[in-house]
Amino acid sequence: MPSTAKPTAPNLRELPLANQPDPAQLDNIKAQLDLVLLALEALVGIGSEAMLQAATELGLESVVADRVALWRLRQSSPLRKGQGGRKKLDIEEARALVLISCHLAKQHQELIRRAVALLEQLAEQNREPHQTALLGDYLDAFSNTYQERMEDAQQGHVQSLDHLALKLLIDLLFYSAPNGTRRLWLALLDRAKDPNHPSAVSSPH
Amino acid sequence: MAQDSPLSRWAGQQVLKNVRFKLSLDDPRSSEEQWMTLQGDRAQLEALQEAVEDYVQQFLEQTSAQFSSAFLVPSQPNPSSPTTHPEVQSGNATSHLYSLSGRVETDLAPVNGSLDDRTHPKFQQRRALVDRSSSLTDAAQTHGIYLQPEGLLKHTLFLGSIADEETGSTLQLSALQLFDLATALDEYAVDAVTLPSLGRSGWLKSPPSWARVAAIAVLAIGLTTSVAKLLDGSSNPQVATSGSQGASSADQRNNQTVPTPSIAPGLQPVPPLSSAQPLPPPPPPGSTTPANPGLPTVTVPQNAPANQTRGSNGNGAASVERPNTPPQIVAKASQSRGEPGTQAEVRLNPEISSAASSRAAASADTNAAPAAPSSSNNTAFDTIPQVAEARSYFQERWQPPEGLSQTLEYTLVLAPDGSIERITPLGLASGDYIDRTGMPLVGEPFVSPIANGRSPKIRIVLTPDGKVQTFLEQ
Repeated sequence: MPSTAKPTAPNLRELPLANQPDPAQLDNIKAQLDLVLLALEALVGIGSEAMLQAATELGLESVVADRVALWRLRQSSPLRKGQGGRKKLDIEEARALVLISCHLAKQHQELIRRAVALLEQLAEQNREPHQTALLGDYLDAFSNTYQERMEDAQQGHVQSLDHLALKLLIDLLFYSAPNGTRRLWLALLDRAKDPNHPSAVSSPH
Repeated sequence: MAQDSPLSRWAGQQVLKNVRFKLSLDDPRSSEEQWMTLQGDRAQLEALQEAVEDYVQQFLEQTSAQFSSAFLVPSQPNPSSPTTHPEVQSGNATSHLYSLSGRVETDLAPVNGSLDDRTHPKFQQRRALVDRSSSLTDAAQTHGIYLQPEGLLKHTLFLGSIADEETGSTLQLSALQLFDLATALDEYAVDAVTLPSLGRSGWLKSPPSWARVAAIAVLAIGLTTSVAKLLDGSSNPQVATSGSQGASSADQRNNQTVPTPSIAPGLQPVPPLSSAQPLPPPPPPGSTTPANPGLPTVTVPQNAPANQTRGSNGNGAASVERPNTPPQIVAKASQSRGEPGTQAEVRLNPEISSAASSRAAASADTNAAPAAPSSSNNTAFDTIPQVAEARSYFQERWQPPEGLSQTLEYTLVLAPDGSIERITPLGLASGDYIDRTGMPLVGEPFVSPIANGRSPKIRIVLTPDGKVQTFLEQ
């Protein structure tokens, strides 16, 4: 499959959609997208400005026009505090967030790579990632921001948050590749679509 | 231009047959002798590519699965339950962090009572995670190629039919190595789709000898800005301690252009290649730009490792031996600073036993000098190591005399022991200036002995701007 993510006109056809996701799946998609962006924020220190800039570079202004629009898209995540307001995310918006996320990941691939390398090194030495500034800051930022934004009921254990943060970090590495958008898209839609997977199992919720 | 004509004959006439691949996994952390090479035919390469991409996809999907189990379904079992998680039980929080998932393990043991129920979606999901290794594509299953995770950061690649005595049946990969491998294979897959297969042409019967080099599929791997910095890099791995990383991470974040030392001595940036195009026309001579940030680059190194430490001058060699040794394409994965070489350098060497080499050779070339009318892409034709040795020999010595505007060319016939048997200057200027070139005398040691005891002919091209090109004439 050809690589995606040309900077100008994103080829939405390269992100296939066999069936419309069911509401539970859509919930999962919204949560995941918000978390991927959260990971980028925590690692790179970027904010909505960078995301909007990416949207512009990708020609997605019609979908993500301004900060408010971006916030509302991310706020659609079921994990987020503040249950009032828009909770919808349609497929085009999801695709836009996928493209933006991978675009940003690609831009910051070096840092992501460095962080993963550092993580590997620490793991081999059986040391905590918090012992390094890069990873320690990342994990702190991730869990702080998560706890600020997400509903209390979804807090989970801090350890789980750290684990999630590290997993997302590695995911970001793969999303920074030329075929990253395709990978993220397929990961969001889960594995129900691939005919080569006879044991495809739907998402547990 | 004369140097274009043989190449333009080749363009559009490429034949792809019997593709073989050779994938070199150069781990800067280990010595060269330990570097693994995977090789096989096209079917195996495709199986490998599918297996890896499949596995990567599964890995990525686990975030969603893990997340939903940990966060979206609040009634999950207590993680501190002794039966839940061996790492947690031992109280080792660190290993918990590095395990694959806080909740979802890749074994079949049920976590608690509720998961004894096989209809429970949690159980099914975990079973699916385990069974994924068996739910491969046909190609991967046929060849027995698959991967399994070992915690969050390690992966085992089961080599199946690709395994040989050197590699063993499995290969351990770190997260970065998996990423680099997947990237290399994905780029191959892109190219494999775009390269056409055409029938043989009659005029292939007697191609110039230097064009009988096996064709290569040009691959590219997206590289980051760090690659451009490799030129300045030292070859010493930098141990990242908390001290060295302690210098504010904010700086690390903001300063994307921090030079990254090359971890392995052999790493260097390479010129961009248009790999996505099926039959790119030969690049104009002199298109030897160093790696640009963000552009895909491929380096085609020479056989002799010593030459790898050179700059762009030594980069373009496709070391191909007639008839069957595949040329090597080194796709340099970017290196991150401070880590002692945790990135594997992945080299993919598809070998195509057709004669349409010069197209690929042209696009792999980095040394095409503008003022060499009769030479084409020399570095792509280092079919024997002596060609590269000859080039470095002259590179050290060639200093164009003032006022020289012509290119000097010589045909050297080498004796089997590596000395020169005969020197033939080509053209008047070459004859006039021969004693200014550093040319060794007949019988003097020059290069290493020839492998099969033959007497190859090497063309030496010396340009007035100081460049040296060499290639095998026969």
